[in-house]
Parts: sequence; structure tokens; C-alpha cells
Amino acid sequence: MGDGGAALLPLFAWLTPAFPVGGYAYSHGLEQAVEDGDVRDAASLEIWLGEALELGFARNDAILLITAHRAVLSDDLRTLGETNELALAFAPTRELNLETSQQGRSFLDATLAAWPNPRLALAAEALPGEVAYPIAVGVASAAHDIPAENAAAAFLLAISQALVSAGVRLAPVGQTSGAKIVARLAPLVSRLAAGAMAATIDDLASATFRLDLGSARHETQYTRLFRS
Amino acid sequence: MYASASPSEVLEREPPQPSQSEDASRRQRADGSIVVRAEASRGVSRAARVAESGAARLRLPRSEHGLDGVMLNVAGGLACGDRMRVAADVGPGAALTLSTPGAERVYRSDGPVTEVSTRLAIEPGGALAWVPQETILFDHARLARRLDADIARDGRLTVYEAVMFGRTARGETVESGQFDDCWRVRRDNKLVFADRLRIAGAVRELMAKRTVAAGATTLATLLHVAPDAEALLDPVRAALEGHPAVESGVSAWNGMLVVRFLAARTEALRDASRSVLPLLLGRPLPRVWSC
Repeated sequence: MGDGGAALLPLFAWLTPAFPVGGYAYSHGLEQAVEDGDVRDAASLEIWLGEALELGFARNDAILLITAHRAVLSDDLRTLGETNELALAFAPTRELNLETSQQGRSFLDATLAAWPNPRLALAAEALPGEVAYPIAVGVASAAHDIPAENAAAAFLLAISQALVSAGVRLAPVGQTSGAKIVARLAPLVSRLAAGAMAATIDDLASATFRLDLGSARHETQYTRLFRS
Repeated sequence: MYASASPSEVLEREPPQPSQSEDASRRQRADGSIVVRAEASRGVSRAARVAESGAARLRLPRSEHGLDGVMLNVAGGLACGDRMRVAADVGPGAALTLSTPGAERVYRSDGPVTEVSTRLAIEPGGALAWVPQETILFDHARLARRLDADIARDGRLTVYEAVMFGRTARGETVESGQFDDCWRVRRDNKLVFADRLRIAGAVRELMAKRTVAAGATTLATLLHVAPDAEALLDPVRAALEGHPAVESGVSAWNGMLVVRFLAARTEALRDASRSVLPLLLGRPLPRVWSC
């Protein structure tokens, strides 16, 4: 490349816990899974997260991110708005709605402030209210000429990393065990991002019914570290 | 679509076994449909229009609690490739409750997918309850279901759908097949709820996973959209505390209340649903639910 990897550098800035999005506050139902004994060690954490990625929300998020990315590249702000509406409507519970909409709005506002450009500003005008997190990442990536598949893979890896960090805080899982889980999930993340490139919003679907059910039960969990 | 037989009769009937000589593509595919519109006049809701085709029938039994429609499938179940469509409209200020007299059965498929589609429209001040009894999937059944609802800003919609993977009381399991259930709900022309549950392929293996069903064989989703939906969160949670055999989660946001249920036994799920649904409907369940 010889350009210092400039094309992908924004992803490294946006998808770290230091970017002001507040991702550390969410566990996507993992806190309830630990409470219920479904996740109790490194092995069960890895299984739970692999299913959440492949059978649940992360595959959908990759499809939504790529759809938003394409809409921005083709200046189709109507499709962008509709895809965002669909992404928000897909949130299965109050807390998972908060998880995606709070992070999405924060992400879009932070990129508008720190990484502004005319295309991003134009797209953001089509998203005046709640924004789903994958939509915001897709919009910013397209506006900064980051390829959709790279953005989707990086986003899913960041989600995996955030959920593993939550798992390390919640369950008897060591830091190194957690790092190994992220490394082992990486090939799945690549596969999901590549698969999402060939998918459309008609492919959005999930099988993780009990994860969603548990997210609703988390609302009444007595002591909670996380907002989801 | 919906069995006209009582639940006990349902249990006695055997599914048709596809013979080797039967060519699925040449088998007569059954299409059925119901169209119904409810309108209110002087505070009383009446069926202003009813149209039926194929094996689908709509009965309107006398009820003390409003307009009740009971949907029947005189064919006694859905075979592979069958299609069933229902379109129900509720006019301004009208109320309609649609249910079924027993479990709906979806038989094994040698390929083609059974398609069930439901379109619901609720005009200002209207209320529609879609509360069929459970759908039973046989092993190797392939069902794709689609529900679209359009609700006026102050309309009320209650949708309850339960699915039983195999008649477990008979020791039957669903090893493989396809269950694809897509919901799109719009309120005031804005999409407010979208859901697509897809359990396809190695169904028993998938249902065993902890994120999916942890081995439960019956699941149900309940959606209630109404101006006061969020105020029902605590009463619904309290009602479900009396049903420890059912794993349930209740959430409310954005003028909606959503309940997800998992159970090992359908009867336990039915008991829980009988406790919760009247709270949302503001009236008892249709009589067909009590047999």
C-alpha cells in the first residue's frame, strides 16, 4: 500500500472503547445469561457469543451496515432512512433498543464532530433522530471511502471484543482466556461480513429467541452492571 | 389453515403420508383465504364484509364481549405448498377478535414451503386482536409465515402466535424442517416493530441451543400495540409470576409491549397465555379458547 494503511485507519479510531460511544455499558443480554447460569466459564461464553453472532443480531447488523453503506454511496437517502427505521424496529426489547439507538446516535455525533466531511454531513441530515448503531457505522464508513466489507468485519470484531470484555467482568473468565475467545471468533466474523456482502434486507433473520427473552428479563434483574 | 376439529380429535388424526409415487409439483396445491372487515355503528361492531375461498371459513358466533371471528380450515391442516391468506380490517371505533377453534397443523413437506400470510389494518380508534391457538409443526414441516399490520396512531393491536415443535405428548419431535416467521408492524405509517424468527435445517439441534430455546419445544410471541401498552408492563409481569413452568420475558417501550414465552409443555403455555391475554384485550378470551 505504501500509504500507511490510511484507508482503514478511521476504523481503528472509531471502534475502540476510547471512542465516545459508551459501549462498555451494554452486554446484549450477557449479564442475564450469567445470572441464569447459561454462561459460567470461558467455554460457555464462547458458545454463547458464537451463537449471538451467527444466529442472532450480529449477522443482521452486518447486513444493515452494508445496506446503509451502499445507500450513502449511491446518494439514496430515502433507502438510508428506511433501513434505519427497519434496524430500529428490529430491536427485540427496550434495553436492546437503547443499546443500538444510544450508541448509534453517539457514534454519528462523534464522527460528525471529529471526522467531518460533506458526504457525512449530508447523510446525517437524513438521520435526525434515533440511529441504529450499525447504520451509523455504515454511514461514516461510506462517507470516508472505507470498503463496506472491511467496515462490517471490523464492527463485528469490535462487538465481539466488547461482549468478551463484559463476559470477563461478569463471569469467572480470565483476561487471556477472553483474548483467546476474540481470536477464535475472528474467522466467524470474517465469514459473516463476507456473507453479508451477498445478502439483502430480505435476509434479516434471527434464531436467538431465548437470548431476546432473557434481555427482557434483565430489566428486572436486581443488581446490574450493564444497561442491557 | 385452522383445524375445525376439537383438540382431542386433532390428536387422533394421522397426517397424510406422502407416497413415493406422489409428485409434489403435480399435487393439487390448496389455497384458502378469508377477508373480513369490521365496522362500528352506534357502538356495536359488526362484520361489514366477509369473503371466504378454498378450505377457509369464518364463523361469527354470538358473543357477549364484542365481535368474535373464528377461523376454520375445513381441510384439517396444511400440507406442503399450501397457501393460506387472511386479511382483516377494522374500521373507525370498531373492535374484532380473531381466533381458531383448535391447533393448526402443518404436515411434513417433501420440498415446497407452506405459506401463511396475514394482513391486518386498524383504522382510528379501532381494535384488533389476532389470537389463534397454537400451530403444530410436524417433523420435516416447512412453514413460512408473514404478518403485516398497519395501525392508526390511536389504534390497538394484539397479536399472539404460539408454535409447538412436534406433538411432544405423543413423543413426537421435529428433527428438521423450517419455521420462518416474519412480522412487520406499522403505526401511523412508521415501522415500529419488525421481527423474523427463522429456525431452519436441524431444528432439534437448534432448539437445544441456549440462545435459541434451551430444549423447549413450544414458543410464543405476544405483541401489544396501544396508547397505554407500557402501563401494562407490571400487571403482565405479575400475572406471569404464577406460571413458573413457562420461561417468559416482558418488555415495553415506544407504545408497545412484547412478551416471549418458552415452555416444555403446550398446556403450561396455554395456562400462562390465558392469564395474560385478557389483561391486554380488556375482555375474556373467545369461548373457543376455553375448550
